[in-house]
Amino acid sequence: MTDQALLSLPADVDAARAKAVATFKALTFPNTRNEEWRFTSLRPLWNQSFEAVIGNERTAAGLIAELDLSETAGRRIVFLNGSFNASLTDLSSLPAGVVVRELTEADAALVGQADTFTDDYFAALNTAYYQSGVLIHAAKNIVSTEPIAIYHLVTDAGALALPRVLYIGESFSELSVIEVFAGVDDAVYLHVPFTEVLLKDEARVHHFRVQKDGNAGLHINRTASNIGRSSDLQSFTISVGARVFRNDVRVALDGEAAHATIDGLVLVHQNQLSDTHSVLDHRKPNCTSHQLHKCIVDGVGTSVFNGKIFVRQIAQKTDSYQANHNLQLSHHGMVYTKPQLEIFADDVKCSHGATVGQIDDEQLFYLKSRGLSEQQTRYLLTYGFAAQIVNALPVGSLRDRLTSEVDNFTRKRFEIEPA
Amino acid sequence: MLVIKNLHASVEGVEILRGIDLEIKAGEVHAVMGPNGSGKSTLSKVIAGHPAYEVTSGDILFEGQSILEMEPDERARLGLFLAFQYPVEIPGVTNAMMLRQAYNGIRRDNGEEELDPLEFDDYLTEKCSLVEMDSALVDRNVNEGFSGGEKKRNEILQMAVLNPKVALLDETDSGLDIDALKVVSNGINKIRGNDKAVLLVTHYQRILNYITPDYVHVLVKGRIVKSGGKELALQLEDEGYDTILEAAGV
Repeated sequence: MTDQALLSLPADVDAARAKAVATFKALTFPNTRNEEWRFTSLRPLWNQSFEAVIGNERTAAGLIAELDLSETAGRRIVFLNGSFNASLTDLSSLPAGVVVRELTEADAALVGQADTFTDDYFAALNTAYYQSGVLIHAAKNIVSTEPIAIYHLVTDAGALALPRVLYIGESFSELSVIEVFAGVDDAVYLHVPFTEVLLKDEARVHHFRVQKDGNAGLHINRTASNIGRSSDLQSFTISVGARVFRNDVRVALDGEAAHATIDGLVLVHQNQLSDTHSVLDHRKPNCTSHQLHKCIVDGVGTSVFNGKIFVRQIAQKTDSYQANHNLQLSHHGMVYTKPQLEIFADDVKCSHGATVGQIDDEQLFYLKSRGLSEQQTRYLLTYGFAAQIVNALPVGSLRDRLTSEVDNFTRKRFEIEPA
Repeated sequence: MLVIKNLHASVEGVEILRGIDLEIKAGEVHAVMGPNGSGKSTLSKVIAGHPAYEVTSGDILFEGQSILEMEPDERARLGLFLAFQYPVEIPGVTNAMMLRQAYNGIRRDNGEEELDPLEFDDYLTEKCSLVEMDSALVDRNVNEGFSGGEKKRNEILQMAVLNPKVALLDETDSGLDIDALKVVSNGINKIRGNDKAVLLVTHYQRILNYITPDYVHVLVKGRIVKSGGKELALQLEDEGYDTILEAAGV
């Protein structure tokens, strides 16, 4: 990737952007000698050039249809190749008290409040050059069970897509937001979205993310949340697509008694790589966090998990749970896992753990003794490993969509005919 | 239906079964009793084909056909069923999903048409009432979060659904309170028939109050040291295993 491609982007920079441009230019492209990128080589990016490309609306409409979520009708925001697309966006049924609009220069002070990525190449890239930003604002006391969908779509090879999302939930508000990342297959493109979530006191948000980028696409995601007193962040990410997916999730529990759940499910096969780095930063007392991250690795795929939990000295009575479970279906897949705890307080309850394994022999025997063949049994157990986490999702069409995603992945793997 | 000939089996090089001979005919119920560590559970697992056990000599015939070289699923599709002592939890897979696939597999083998999910639902509901099980449990993940009694009842439900020719019940009665024991025994009795056979492995005589066995065998250190009618179970209950152990010289 060259600076040349980036410089061809519009130069309507405000002060915040100007600062990010300077930061970005001072940073070097990360390589595997960098601890944070040890297992994730960005070699596929070398000698490629990416630039802002106008997307194809017809192709984009097709991608939306493939991932249609019925409950989000009339509450659909579309980014096409990183730019907000007004004609595919439909906001006809927004709940009262919820505002969705494009970010403008006047919003400069809002952007970056939750951003804890310092000296991060891709965070700086997005902040400096994002093509469009959208603000979702839930006013005080606004509670709605009607989910809002954000489609981040890429339709062209060579596209550099830098969408920006800012969610602000005021006190006592509650909303569901589903981000869907998708792109055409066989096209090498670079997707670098950045989403910020700000939860004020007692606010709650359900933040679902579905990563189904094209099979040659590169997706480097930055998500930063700052959550206030007694707030509740419920986040779930499923990673299915992309050639390389690098997912950095950071949550600052910045008010007493806040709670964050950041669960994840990763399915990789062929030569896919999916890398999740998370930081849960317990900054205040009595906060709780929960992280269950599951990966299924097949083919010569790679899954990386690096989960950090910080408990600051002041954050007494923290209760934090973290687990990473990996199921390996092939001999050539790679799993790297590193759960990390850094605790500076002395009265906390923190547990973390990781497992890497194959299918359990006793479960295998149990199902085979019911007359299910070896393949059927392996299919069911693999399906169950993933479905366990998907079955709990509260949005029906999303749950059904992801259940069949998991079912297709496992059926194909074990050559089981569709039901 | 099931003939066991001079069966020797070991696990990790340790011999557990040391020459078992047993013949179970259609319509019969056989109870196998014995002290802890005698090889009762091993016997049922070996018959079902658990891969951890190695059969070193002898044979097992199912309807005249040796099943030793068969995978557990092949044995099951012939009509063999093992109710587990410790039923295994399968997260993410519902009872209904597992049972529909297993049942349809058997129907395919028999050249019958598969049941679609709705048809299977009706069939499953009917079987639930047979074992007095709350039909809500079929939509829960297999054995996940089930109480001990629910797990055992679930084994009997699975048996009712799959309708095997030979049922091996491995300590299905242990851990059950008296009401659950009655329900489970009832379920087993309803499935009994002239064309079916049951091998009941148990520690206690009490389940035999509800399921009357035709034969009782006492298994000690991997061998059957005594066989008799149902009165043998009562004798064991009164005297313990000591008398029999002494008489058998083990």
